[in-house]
Amino acid sequence: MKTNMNMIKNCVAVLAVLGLVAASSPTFAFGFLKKFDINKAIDKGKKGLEAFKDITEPEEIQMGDGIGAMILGASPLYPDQNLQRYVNKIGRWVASQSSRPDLPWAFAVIDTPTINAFALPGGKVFISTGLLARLTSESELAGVLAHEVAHVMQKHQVTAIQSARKTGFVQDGVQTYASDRIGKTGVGSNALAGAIANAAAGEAIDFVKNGLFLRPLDKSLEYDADRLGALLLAKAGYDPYGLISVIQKLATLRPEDSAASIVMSTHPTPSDRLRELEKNSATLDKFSGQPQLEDRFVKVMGTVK
Amino acid sequence: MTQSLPSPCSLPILLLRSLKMGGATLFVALFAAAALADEPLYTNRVTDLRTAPEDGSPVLRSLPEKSAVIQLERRGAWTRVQVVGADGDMQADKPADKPADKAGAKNTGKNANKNAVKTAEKSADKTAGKETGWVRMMHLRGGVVVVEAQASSGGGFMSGFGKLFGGGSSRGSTQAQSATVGIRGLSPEELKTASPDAAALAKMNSYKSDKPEAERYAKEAKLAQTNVPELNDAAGGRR
Repeated sequence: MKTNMNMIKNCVAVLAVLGLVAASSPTFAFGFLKKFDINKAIDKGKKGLEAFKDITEPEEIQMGDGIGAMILGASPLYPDQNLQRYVNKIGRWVASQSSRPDLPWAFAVIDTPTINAFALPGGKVFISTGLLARLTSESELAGVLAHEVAHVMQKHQVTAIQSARKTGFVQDGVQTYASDRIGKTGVGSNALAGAIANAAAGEAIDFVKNGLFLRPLDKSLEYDADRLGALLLAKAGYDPYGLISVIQKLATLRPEDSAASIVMSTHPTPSDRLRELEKNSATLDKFSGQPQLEDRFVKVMGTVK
Repeated sequence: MTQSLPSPCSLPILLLRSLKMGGATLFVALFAAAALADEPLYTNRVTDLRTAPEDGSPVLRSLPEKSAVIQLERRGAWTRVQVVGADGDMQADKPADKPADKAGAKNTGKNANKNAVKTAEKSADKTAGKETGWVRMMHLRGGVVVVEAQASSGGGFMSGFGKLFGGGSSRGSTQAQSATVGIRGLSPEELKTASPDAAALAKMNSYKSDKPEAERYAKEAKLAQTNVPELNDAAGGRR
């Protein structure tokens, strides 16, 4: 019982982070008391229990597949196999330094001028051509990927999905599961093929369709990913300032440009991220002589069709 | 490792040349990158402009806080910059700062300001005649007050912009703006209404690497696994 209470407390804390508590709690209280339906209550209870279950690693991987399929539905893969393979080799090397080296890591360049990179549960990582075009060395590319690998390593997105599950339990009607909806909505069973024909992937697709994927993570998680990203980068033998360099490049973008404004959240700013990373500059400096690998990067980019 | 890198401004051109223009979208991406490359960074403290990327190298001069600089290249913890003035005053655009000939020898002439003279003799590239030198990377911050938008990724890399000079010394106000005007890509709306693409996912998975291959590729470039002490969020490593 004590454990359950702690879980609920944790849940509320996470929801508070996501800014969802205030919006959802009152609806739950009134809705539940106004019209009591025993079947609905049992159903809710079942979902509630599911919501509190930890997401297993296989489920996490399936969820990543579901979200990944959505991202690829919105933005196609960049059609150059050589570039995709290059990014995978760099990403896989960085991920091998993480505490989750054996996930089915997969990296992709997506064809969009949006300047961004994404990490998904289970080890799927995306970088846009808009961001890639701004990079000048392999250590910068590895730095971007290392930041994303760190998110996966720390299960930041899994936690966010778990929180959304709990929101679904709290506020009926906002969150429905693909497992309920397959065949009833646009996400028909025909669309759910291959790796995404399972409940976890379906749930993840709903997570995206409900607009939850684009919510910013808490600042502290971004700082965490920067710090761990710099660490992974140095462990992989790269100059860790590759990551810092990219963050600094972000600071030179014109905000009014739509490519730059697309993915801005309210926090943290590049300045804040640099300030946080600077706390470890004495350690980072010791590894700043490690390779940046501009040559290999430029060479590969030069072969891109 | 002493080879000079393409400057941020020349990079898109380099890519335009070398990517052979795979499609219209990439063109848009690169065009956007070119348009975005010009905002200066600012020193967020008094810092030395040095002749080389190391603490012991000769100091050209001390740059005051809020000096505007353009990044030229990077070496580890150091950035080679071109000084453009304080608070965005583009000194470098004066007539004297026109790119000199390749040797940079004729650039000590008529309108050259004293900073340009100071650095002209060692500049042998297109920044000849402009005040350049090396600054600690960590002493540079963005100077743009940025409009903040709603969208971020679940763990996206570009998780925020804004504020002047870091350290919470925000100047001006920020405002919310919904993202994604007129550009194709991963807007919240496009993502919400996308149809999952299982075939593309399978293709993505076909590009995967594995540990041994990734390790071989790292070794080819002389990347070696390194023992690095844990970084913590309360270390006092400011330099």
